Amino acid sequence: MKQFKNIQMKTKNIILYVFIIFSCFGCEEFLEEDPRALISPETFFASENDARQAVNGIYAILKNNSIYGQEGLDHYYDYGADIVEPNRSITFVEPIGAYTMNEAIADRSVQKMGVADTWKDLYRVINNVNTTIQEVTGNEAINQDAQTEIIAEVRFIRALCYWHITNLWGDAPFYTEALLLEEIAALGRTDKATIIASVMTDLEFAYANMLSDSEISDDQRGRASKWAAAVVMAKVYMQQQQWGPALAKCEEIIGQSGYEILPNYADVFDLANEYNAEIIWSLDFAKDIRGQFEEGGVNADGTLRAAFGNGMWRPSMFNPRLRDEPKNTAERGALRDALTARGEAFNGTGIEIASKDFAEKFPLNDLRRPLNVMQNYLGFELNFPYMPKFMNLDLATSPRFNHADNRLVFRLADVVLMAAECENELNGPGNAYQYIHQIRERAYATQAEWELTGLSQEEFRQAIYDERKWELAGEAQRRYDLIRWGILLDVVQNAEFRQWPANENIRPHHVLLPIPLSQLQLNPALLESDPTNNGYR
Amino acid sequence: MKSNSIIEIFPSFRKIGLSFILILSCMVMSNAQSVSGTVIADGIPLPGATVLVKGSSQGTSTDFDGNYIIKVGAESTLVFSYVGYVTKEVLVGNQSEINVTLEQGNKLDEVVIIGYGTQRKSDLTGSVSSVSAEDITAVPVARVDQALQGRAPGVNVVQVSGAPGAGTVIRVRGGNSITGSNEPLWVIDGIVVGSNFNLNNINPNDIKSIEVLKDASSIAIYGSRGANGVVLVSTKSGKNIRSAKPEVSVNLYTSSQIVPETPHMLTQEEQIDFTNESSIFAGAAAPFPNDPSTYPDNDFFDLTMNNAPIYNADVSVAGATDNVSYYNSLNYFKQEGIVISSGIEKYIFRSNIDIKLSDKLKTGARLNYSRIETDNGVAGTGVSNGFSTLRTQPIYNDDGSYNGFNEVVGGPWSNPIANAALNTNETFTNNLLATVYLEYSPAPKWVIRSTFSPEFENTKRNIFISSQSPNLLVVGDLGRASVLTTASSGWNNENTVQYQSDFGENHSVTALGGASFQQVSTESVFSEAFGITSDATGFNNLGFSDPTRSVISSDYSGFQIASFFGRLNYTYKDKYLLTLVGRTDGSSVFAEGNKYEFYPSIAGAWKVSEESFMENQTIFQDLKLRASYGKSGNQAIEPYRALGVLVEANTTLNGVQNPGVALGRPSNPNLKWETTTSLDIALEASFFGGRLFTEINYYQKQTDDLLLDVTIPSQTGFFSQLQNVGSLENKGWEFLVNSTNIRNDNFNWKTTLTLSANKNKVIDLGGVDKIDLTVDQILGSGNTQLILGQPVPVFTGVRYLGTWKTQEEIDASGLTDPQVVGGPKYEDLNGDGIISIEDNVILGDPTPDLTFGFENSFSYKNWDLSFYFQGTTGNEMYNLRMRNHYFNRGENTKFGGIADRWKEGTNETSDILRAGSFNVTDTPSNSEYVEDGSYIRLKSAQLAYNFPVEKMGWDGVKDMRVYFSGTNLLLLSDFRLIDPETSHFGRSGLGNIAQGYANGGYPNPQVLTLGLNVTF
Repeated sequence: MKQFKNIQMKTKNIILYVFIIFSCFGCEEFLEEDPRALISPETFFASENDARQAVNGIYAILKNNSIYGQEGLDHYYDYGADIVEPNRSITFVEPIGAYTMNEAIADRSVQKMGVADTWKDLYRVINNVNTTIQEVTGNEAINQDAQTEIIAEVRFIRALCYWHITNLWGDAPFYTEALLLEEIAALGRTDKATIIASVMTDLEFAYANMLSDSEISDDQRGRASKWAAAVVMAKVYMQQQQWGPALAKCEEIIGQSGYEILPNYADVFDLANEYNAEIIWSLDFAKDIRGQFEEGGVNADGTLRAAFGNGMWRPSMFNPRLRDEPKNTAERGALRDALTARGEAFNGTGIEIASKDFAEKFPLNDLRRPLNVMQNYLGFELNFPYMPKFMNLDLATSPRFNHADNRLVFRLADVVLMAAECENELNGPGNAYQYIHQIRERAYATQAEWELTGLSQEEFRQAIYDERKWELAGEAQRRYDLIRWGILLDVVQNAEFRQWPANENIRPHHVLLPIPLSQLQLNPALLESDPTNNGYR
Repeated sequence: MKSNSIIEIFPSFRKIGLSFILILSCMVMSNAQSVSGTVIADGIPLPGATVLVKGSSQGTSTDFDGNYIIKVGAESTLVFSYVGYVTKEVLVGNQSEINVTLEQGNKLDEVVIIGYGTQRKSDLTGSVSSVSAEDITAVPVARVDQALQGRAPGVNVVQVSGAPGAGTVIRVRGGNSITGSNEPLWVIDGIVVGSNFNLNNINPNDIKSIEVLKDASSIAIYGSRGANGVVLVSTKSGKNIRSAKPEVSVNLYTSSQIVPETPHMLTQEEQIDFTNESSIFAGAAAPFPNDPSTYPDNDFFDLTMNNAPIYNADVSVAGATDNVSYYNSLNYFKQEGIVISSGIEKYIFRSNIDIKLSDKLKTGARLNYSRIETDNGVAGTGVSNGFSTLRTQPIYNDDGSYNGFNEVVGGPWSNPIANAALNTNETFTNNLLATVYLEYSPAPKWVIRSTFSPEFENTKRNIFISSQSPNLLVVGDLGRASVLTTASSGWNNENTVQYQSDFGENHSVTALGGASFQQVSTESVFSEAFGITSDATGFNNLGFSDPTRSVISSDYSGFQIASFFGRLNYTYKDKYLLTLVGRTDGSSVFAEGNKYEFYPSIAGAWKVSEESFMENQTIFQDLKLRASYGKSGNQAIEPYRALGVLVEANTTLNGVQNPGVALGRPSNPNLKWETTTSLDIALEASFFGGRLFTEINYYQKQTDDLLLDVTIPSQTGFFSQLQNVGSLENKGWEFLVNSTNIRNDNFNWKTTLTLSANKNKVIDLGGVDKIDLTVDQILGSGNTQLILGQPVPVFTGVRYLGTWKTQEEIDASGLTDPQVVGGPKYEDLNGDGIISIEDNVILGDPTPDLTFGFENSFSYKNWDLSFYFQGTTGNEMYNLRMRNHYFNRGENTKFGGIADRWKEGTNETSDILRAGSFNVTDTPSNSEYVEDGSYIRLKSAQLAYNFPVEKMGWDGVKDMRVYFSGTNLLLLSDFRLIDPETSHFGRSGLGNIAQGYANGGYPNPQVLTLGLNVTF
């Protein structure tokens, strides 16, 4: 009996023990995830500062290689026209420049600046803008004025990106709200006119509510002002040949913004004064920013990348490569020594240099020529013509692929020439000389050289074509202008190229890019409205 | 190693350890009552036989003369066992001397360890592979996982890097997951340490046995973490000590690692010819206009690799009394890498103790402390140096300083010789892995056991790049340094209740129920400084730097798992066996609603040889048929992957960095476990009195809800999203033969053969017929795909058809892409005039058709000789080096075969493309990249001499053995990168499926070892 009781006791103990081990943890609580080191978009926007960080992040993407960081947009706005060309066969610029692009090449990512990279990053900006607008709108932690200003700034950036998208691909997937991922992934192409209408709505809101340059504090230099929005508006009007509204917008910029045409062309590109009075918007870059290829997001193994890189590579594209220079190879050592003595180096790549056509045609008496075509340096004759306005040979402050040079986006000279063009289109040259002369005056030594007189409307138009080429070379304007004027084929077919037979290869459909092949495979809806993929299939 | 202080500390550390061992030795207690006797087998005394008191952990083993002494009560039963012999049980009663004779038996009588318990192999219903201590230590290995290679059928172990301390990649019956971990779960002395445990922390010499659980029935008890197989490691205890006095073992060896064959590249002269030709073709000037003899000729493979030594010393003290048994050991291991500036140094201390407090209560602990100092290498992987730099690159400038500029490329050059001399990249790790247990038997047949197992690990990684680094000097930059510290801690609590009883003569039941809780968290801090002017403080004071460029970050990650499990074993007439297992797991990494999953399994076995109709046959000693079916899971994702997150996206304004954030990855609250359902059928048989043992397994596994980072349209602003997509299947055979070919007094010959054949295929991809995987970021997409009905994964690309011979041929091809005579010709499969991923075909797959291991061991008198071959057939390799070193620009080194390329006027029939004709960006993934990856390797060979210590009259010495061994002695393979095992294949993420992707990593050296084992 006692034994039996003992066993009973023991059984009770066992049951008690089992009960304890199976119930001693509140499992719901125990299994809660604790992401202390991470932030999610749903909970992040808890103050104005948080929202400002999101805006900064959008600028960070804009500075990726695929857009403004290296050559991203240069590919589509400068290569394949008559201004820049590499000094040798470089396959990552060749498909654009030589017009051998196809859907498969568009798919390749090269140093994060292939067509597919630009496509992806422009949409990444748009996705971030949409999310920021959604989280900021009506957010009680952010006061109304700040909300409006932040939304205006990001709507400007969204408009800028959609404008680039329509320039590059025409019709394109279009959304302005933070939709479900599945919905966005299945969107087909919206026609360009609808997108541009929305771009103009965004820009009008941005222009009305963004800060002007004088309102942006010095430590925030590099952010876009309302005048950047105005420039894009004017450019869109001109694209639509709405010359009146375009001229009015240019006039507002010239008359109200406070920007000035500097007396000396070289001063515009002075690295010691990057935010000079002629610059409407330039993106800020600094030396020693890590990870030029990094693009944030998720690594292949699921880990998160440490940081976005905002490294500036572009001057290395314009800088010469010692291996290619000088013309007399026996003097290479002497050239290197001469450079070293000045604290300089030819440590670039020589990829984005003056094209043969550009170097040959640039007027010799034009004071802008030394900044656009360099055929000698320190007394050494060079093999290739380089473009000093965007070079930076200083070894200490600007080593290879690690530059502090800002990326110029818009400047007043562009707007003044736009005004000249609008006025000529509206009323002929009569009242348009005043604009073009502002630009030409500083470009030539004498009035006889700079003054234009007695031109017909067509002659003036031609003069504008040339003036924009000399004034704005390498500033990602040329190919856009040529397409807008409808003369891309004509110009390319008649230009002389050092490296590639662009003049033979170019076809009418080359005014647009193909949507990258893998995107078509992932989302067949992209082929619904245009089965030819802009003429590439 | 730049850690002088550690070497100074080492002697005192050793002293502390030794005194600890001595203290523990004093705990040996005495007991008066004893039984002794001799164990005989084949007519002679059997040394090393195990003598256990049934139902306890108490026991000893026979000495060299087959004698034993043990202290037991009269009511006890002694169990005598020895590998290969039938176990015998004897009731003690009033006997003081018990002599037994063991009959030759077979493999099926070994006791194997299973999850939360042990079982006789003959009673197993599941599939378990065992590797014994003898196999593990036969040829010295630095890590436990290396000892598993080829030893267990169905367990594919690949040594992907020869770097000191580098781990292996293990696949048990093929990979179940695509991007999740496919590594098995490691359980060390019952502690679930996960699939990512650093096995450097464990001294291989401490290990008693390793069991690999492979089928649903045996792994289901580990539920959501068992799908990739479970490796159970048991360390030694003092229980089997042959005598009452403590046993001391010393194990010393030293090795010489020899640099293996390196890839065959162009000679300096051929390379200059190629580079010039290539530049001229691209419209640039020839970089080497002068005679080749005026340029340097540096073989960077040779310059960055040297033969290097390994030193190892082990000391262990073990002993047992009735109530206490203990095993303590110390290990020192030092390996210099064959690549300059790499190496590892390890100090491992272990203390195992088991204490019987009363008849009902037992307790004990396992404690493992290790310190690891690794030089991660600052000179590349050795082979990479030979690829990354032209032989014409000078190491020194004319003035004797290090060269840091590559004139051909036009940019700075990371000089491996300078890096090795100037820079540091080292990691220190301290790891404490411990478990304490309490085992209580409140009533007969009941056992309650609780364990608590903490683990702590601290690591510190120091990187210093000197301001004198030539590649920094040429760009006018200064030194930089970074420090990464991580601290992780975790605990694991397991509680089980076991009931075991026989009902009548025919029925036997064992039931187990339990609960387990685990929590792991890791915190880290990273700091990086730039602009360091002086080398004086290195990484030790990051403050001496440019404050505006400093980078700091910190991180936290943690997860919890709660589980409840049960197992029922039922045996009828000792012939029919049934096992039921179920486990419910809850995990923190999934979103609400997806946290829990239940994993059931069922298994049965039939001991055919026990049937009466088998009584009269003489062929089979044993014959068993078994089958199992069940589900297991894979928590294949890292914590927080279900959440969408913002990432740091800083930007400069007015020249100063401003904080910023941007969307990192999209959320997916629907994520759930990957689930593997598997079927296993096996036949085990032993013949000829147990001299031949075979085991044949067939299995079939299907994994559903595969977790995959799926590429999504980039118009979403994202690149990919982690989703549960599709299913894959693994089917295969495993075959094991153990044979004692010859056994007599003087000569023994044993053979072990393992064969595994696994076929996997994709059976569902969630509605699409293929998914593109980006294994290599630079290579881009379109080279690795999951295709319905095909292996996981397949290499894809276009077919390389040779070179274009004439312009007419190009014109007639209809290709609109630019093509050149002498350039590569690819097949335009769909005839659209461009070469694109739409022209891709399947070029091969990395899964071997057959993996095999073949071992022969001979013993003649006191001599032992063994050799062991291992290899694979039917697998392809994707040679990533082809991209730059067969195709692409002249600035890259080229494989030797390129000398015979297409050359205008002189070699126009060659199908090897001309110099400079195509760049990397134009080179699609193509058939030239894919090579046969089959190989046979003489993995190890050993010759050993066992001193006849008895005859020599060496008092106090129980065993003494010297051996000479070699690993990787011979390799038969056609692979351009020489060793197909050295690859990108990794443990997680895309490295997981990158089996067969090779880039010429750290080569596996040949190793020659001289060793000595002495037991006192």
